[in-house]
Amino acid sequence: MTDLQAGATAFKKSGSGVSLQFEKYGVVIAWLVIIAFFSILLPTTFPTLGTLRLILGTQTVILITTIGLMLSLAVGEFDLSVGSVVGFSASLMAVLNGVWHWGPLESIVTTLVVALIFGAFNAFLSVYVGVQSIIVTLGSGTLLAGLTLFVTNTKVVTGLSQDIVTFMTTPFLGIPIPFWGGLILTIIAWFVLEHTPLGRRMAFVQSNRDVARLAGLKVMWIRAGGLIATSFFAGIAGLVLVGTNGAANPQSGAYYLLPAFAAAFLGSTAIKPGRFNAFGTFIAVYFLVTGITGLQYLGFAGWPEQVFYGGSLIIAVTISHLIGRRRGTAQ
Amino acid sequence: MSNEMKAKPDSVTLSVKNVSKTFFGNTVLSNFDLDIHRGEIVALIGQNGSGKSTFIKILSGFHAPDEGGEFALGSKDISAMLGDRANKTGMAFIHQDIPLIPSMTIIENLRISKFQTGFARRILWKKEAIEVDRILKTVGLDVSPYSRIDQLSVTERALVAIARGLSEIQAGSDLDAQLLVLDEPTAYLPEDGVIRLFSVLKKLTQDGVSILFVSHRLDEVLDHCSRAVVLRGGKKVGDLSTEGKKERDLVEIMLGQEPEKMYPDRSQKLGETVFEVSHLSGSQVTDVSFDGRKGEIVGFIGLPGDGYDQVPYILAGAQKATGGEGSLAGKSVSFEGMTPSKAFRRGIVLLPADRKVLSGAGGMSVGDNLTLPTLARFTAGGIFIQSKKEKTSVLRELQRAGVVPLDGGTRLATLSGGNQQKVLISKWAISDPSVYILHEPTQGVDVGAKRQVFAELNRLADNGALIIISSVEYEDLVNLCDRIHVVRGGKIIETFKGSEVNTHALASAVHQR
Repeated sequence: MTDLQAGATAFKKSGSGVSLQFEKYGVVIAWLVIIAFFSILLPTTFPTLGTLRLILGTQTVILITTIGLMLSLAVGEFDLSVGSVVGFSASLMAVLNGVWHWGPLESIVTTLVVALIFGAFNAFLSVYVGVQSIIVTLGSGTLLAGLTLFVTNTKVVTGLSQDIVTFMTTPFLGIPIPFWGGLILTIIAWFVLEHTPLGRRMAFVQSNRDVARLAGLKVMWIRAGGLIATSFFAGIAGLVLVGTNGAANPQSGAYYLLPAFAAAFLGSTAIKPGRFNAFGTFIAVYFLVTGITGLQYLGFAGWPEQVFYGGSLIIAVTISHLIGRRRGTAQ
Repeated sequence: MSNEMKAKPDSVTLSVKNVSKTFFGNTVLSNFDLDIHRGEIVALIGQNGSGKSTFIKILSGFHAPDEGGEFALGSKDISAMLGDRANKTGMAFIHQDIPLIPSMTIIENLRISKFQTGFARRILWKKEAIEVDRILKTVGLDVSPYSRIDQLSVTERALVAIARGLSEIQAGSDLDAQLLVLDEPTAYLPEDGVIRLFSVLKKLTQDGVSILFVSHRLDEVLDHCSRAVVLRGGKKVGDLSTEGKKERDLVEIMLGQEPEKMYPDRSQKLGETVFEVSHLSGSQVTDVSFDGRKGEIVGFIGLPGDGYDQVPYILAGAQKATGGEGSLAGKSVSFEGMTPSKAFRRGIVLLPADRKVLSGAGGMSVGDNLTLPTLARFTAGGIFIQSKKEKTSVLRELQRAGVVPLDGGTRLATLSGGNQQKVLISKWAISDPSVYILHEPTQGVDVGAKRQVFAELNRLADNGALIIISSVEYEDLVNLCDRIHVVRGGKIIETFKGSEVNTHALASAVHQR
């Protein structure tokens, strides 16, 4: 260690209390700041119960997708096909139930099984064959997006059974049921990651794959499980998407890739900085959604969303890289 | 620089004076002086930790020396230039792991940073090929400059690396001296490759190049070097002509006095044979058979590349075994198809030498690392982790192993090497395995922690475990082990009883060819 590093370590020790808290709750603070910002600009329309409902109720698809994506990232795998799975599942559900008139349960189960199989395909190539997951999923996601256009004939598919739509839009405590489902999935992900041996093992697989393997962990299965879980969650997100809208737009999947990555990386800088974690992700999702909603209230539509998501992703990965590098100096 | 200086025959190529290096108040190299004359091949030898790799790292600019050291190459003061390109310092370094890109051609590897280009920055391939061909001829290589590195034999690759080093030095127009530093270049070479390499080096010395040769192989030192400089404990303890010397003479100087009491008293009582291994083989191990008893400490030693250091990894399934079976506690074991998780379930655990990459996850907490393999013990019904139970055990283990600081929440990487190693041994001890396999367990560990690591290994053996240590530390093995196997060419060539061998005999057995 050089004198400079020693100095930095000493400095960090003295300041670690405050800076660590700031690091943990940085995203929360940023969230509060933008809420205050929009509330000052739009004192009558923004800080209302209606806005809260809108923010929590309409973006459950992003929440579930992101929580799912986080499960891959938490074992060190990149899944770029996650948006395509959302779009495909929504379309498949619409085709099965709305066009072919399968029962709701059969349609749901079939859709989720297909999502699982797709995840297993990603896992087979990435883990068993050993191709980098970022490449595998780039290909498989594009392929699936094409198949989505094929099964829907490139048209919006309608005719979803009214029962499903009603269920998905029924409010509970003022917010539609899917939000509560998303919250439960978040809590399950939190529990698994924080409190089960599996979660601890996932953290080791991400942190140091060789150490995990030599400690006797079944690293291949853990990595595969992460990728399969991501597809499964994306399948659920697709069901929520089609159920909430009552129809499936075959092009919609592409919309979910970037927000999910932005939120997952942003989430890894919060609550447990440096680790992909469930509540950090939850907060990051709603930070982004709040920002977008506020921008829409101000009359910006379209381009600001992309600027906001893209900018947040870059800021998030930069912060998490800096956290990682600072930790690295102590090694 | 005038040309007549270049021709001066008996001038000094490298002159190093008063070089020291201190890490954290720990002096690893002190007041080292070294002169290498024009056309001379000088060997730098010493045990691990003697300071020789520190010196090489200082020369190559990886470590900054303490103040006061002087470095000159020929007539040029290079003290401020260490770490600069070879054409500035006149020194080129060739390491055992040759940094050539296998999928690229010799031309590309040699010329990547200085391609001659023509119109539109097009590379002048023909000119390059002629130039590279000339360079290859100087090291006696007759292969096409367009050959890919992965088409060459290991010996040819080593020669290409030397050619690259030479061409880098020769690019410096104002240099009046040239030095090649070879760091264990022969570790992975076959015997005829070693002979070829040295015949090339001899030819280069006739052209005025000087060579500093760092090696564990004393036979090569005696055969090919004119002088040997010996380091021990960071000090120069010998600088002698190799004329008429025997390996024994060098070993004597390398090892010096017996060190202070460092080792636990080994119990004389061993249990029954618990582990039998026959015909174990892998990429570097051809046929190793041995057995071990309860409470025994078994050592493996050899030279790099000879397989002693692969034995731990294939026994524990971390690297592929191509053959070998045996038995553990009466049940048969097959080493082909062994995986770390199977080994762990059978009670075989491995502590690799590379702590940062293979053994511990530095970014995770001490407690997390400690309970990684045995997490299932700290769960309720196998479902969720009972943190209180886990924390209590972590604290107990840390206390027992004497880990500082006594805190399961700090990140492993912030601990000293010795404390990390204590944590990583304890991580296995929780599961109470029957066989511990360790590779260089005290690498990068200070003397005090070393003593503790040995005491812990002794305790585990006394509790009935079999300990297998693969290491190049003669004294450690001699003082700890009940039996020591010397591995060469992937086979056990000699076995010593710990009580009947001294470091000198062991070192000679290892170094003889």
